[in-house]
Amino acid sequence: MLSQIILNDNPPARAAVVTSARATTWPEMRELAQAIVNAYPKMGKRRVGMSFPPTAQSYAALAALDRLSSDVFLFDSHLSFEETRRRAIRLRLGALLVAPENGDPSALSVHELPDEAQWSGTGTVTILTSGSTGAPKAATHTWQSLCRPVREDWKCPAPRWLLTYRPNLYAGLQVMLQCFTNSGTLVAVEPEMAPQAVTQLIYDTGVEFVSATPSFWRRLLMFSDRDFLRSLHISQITLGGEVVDQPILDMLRLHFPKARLVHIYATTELGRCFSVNDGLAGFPVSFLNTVLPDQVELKVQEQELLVRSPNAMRKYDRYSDARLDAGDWFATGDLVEQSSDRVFFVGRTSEMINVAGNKVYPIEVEQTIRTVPGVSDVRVYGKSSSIAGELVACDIVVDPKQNPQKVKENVLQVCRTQLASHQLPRLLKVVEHIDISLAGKTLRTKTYD
Amino acid sequence: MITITENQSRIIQVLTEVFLIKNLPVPALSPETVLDQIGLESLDFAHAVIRMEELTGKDPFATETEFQIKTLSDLAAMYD
Repeated sequence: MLSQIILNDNPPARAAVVTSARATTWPEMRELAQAIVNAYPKMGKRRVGMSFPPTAQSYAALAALDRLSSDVFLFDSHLSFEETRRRAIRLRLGALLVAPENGDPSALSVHELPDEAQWSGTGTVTILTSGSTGAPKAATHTWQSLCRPVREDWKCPAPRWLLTYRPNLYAGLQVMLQCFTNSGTLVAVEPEMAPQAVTQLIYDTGVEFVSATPSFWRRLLMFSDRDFLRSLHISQITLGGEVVDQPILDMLRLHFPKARLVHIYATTELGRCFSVNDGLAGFPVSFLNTVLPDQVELKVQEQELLVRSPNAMRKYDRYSDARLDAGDWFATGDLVEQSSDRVFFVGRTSEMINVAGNKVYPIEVEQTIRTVPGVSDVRVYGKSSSIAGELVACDIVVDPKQNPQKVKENVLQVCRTQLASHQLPRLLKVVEHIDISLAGKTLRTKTYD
Repeated sequence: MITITENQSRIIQVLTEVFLIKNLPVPALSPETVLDQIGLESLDFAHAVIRMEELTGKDPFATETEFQIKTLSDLAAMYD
């Protein structure tokens, strides 16, 4: 499918991929893809790994491997070559393709690997993710399953999309496909890019569609010039990857009153499940126990959201550590709470903190702390205790204009009045910033130092 | 004059923090303070133990199974 889009006979003249280093047009990307098809016919019908930076060359190589019906495995370009190779061997891949950040296709290096497992018999795309539990997972999609939720948008031809997600993960592939299907321009952001540089790039390239995590937006809103931010002509903001809470939606609504606000629920395994665009956190109760667009179905069992989705992957790879449970309903690991008409996400089954036998959901505590004026960002996690199992710990980022000690006292005051005593963050630290993962999500690893 | 050991003074410091986090008045704390008479809950105690580990690098409760603690100085002695 990607090959049909990129190896199209009549590519538009506009830019296809823009990075801070260069812009590549559609005809140039097409030419790159064709050159790779011609140069590497031996990569066809095999298990091939690819280091995947967000460049035109990566997408061209991906289209070429699609044309060659290969089973492609996408590796994060931030991994060292040695680590990528080690993982590729573990997955019994036959070859590793490394695209340099810049350069012509002849500079693509191919590394043959020993002991290749059998080709699947049809071209596939496997997404490699560590998941929230840290166990490596290899989710095998087909181009059909990846493209199924993508929409052709006649109202907005040639859209300009900002890619903030890692290009090798599900969300990054979705943004690329949504953009390329509509012959648009993909503007790629590196995770280490400074907030001012990101807003400048949005301005310079005329980006209209921004797809990012709430954490990405919080960072941008915290450090960017607000007037400059408001001057950007953003017509749609798509949030995903983590729980979307009301304060971030309200904040975006305030600064971008004309933008359509959409939050998407998707996972690597299930693909895109549903989207919400009423500007409210959570999703309507009416989404449960019915058939949604794309024939996705949702139900709640013991507080956990279960999904059946035709956009799902085909399977985990044979050499993945993860296995799919029997049955077509998939337990998402996301815990939900229902009010009369709304379903809210309260945390992950794996992130739950156990304080002397009491369950504490980090998100619930984080949402309470976020309401305190002067708190720019917060992360709540469990700190292991020899006495109580775990205690609630939290890191907060304080608005530079505020007195950190005062904000800290206000946080404790609000927590004491609004949370149960076992939910009270006992260990509270003011930090410079909250780390977010490469996938753009708040890292809730259980550490405290 | 009463001399206070380093670990006793650390215990006083972390117990003070525990009361302040809960916004409760801090009782008078000395090596002779009897710990089960100052209103410490088990989570308060867990909190103090984590803070002591941060200050001393030690958690005696993670390794020992037999404790006999009555006063603040008994607790401090576990970190000596």
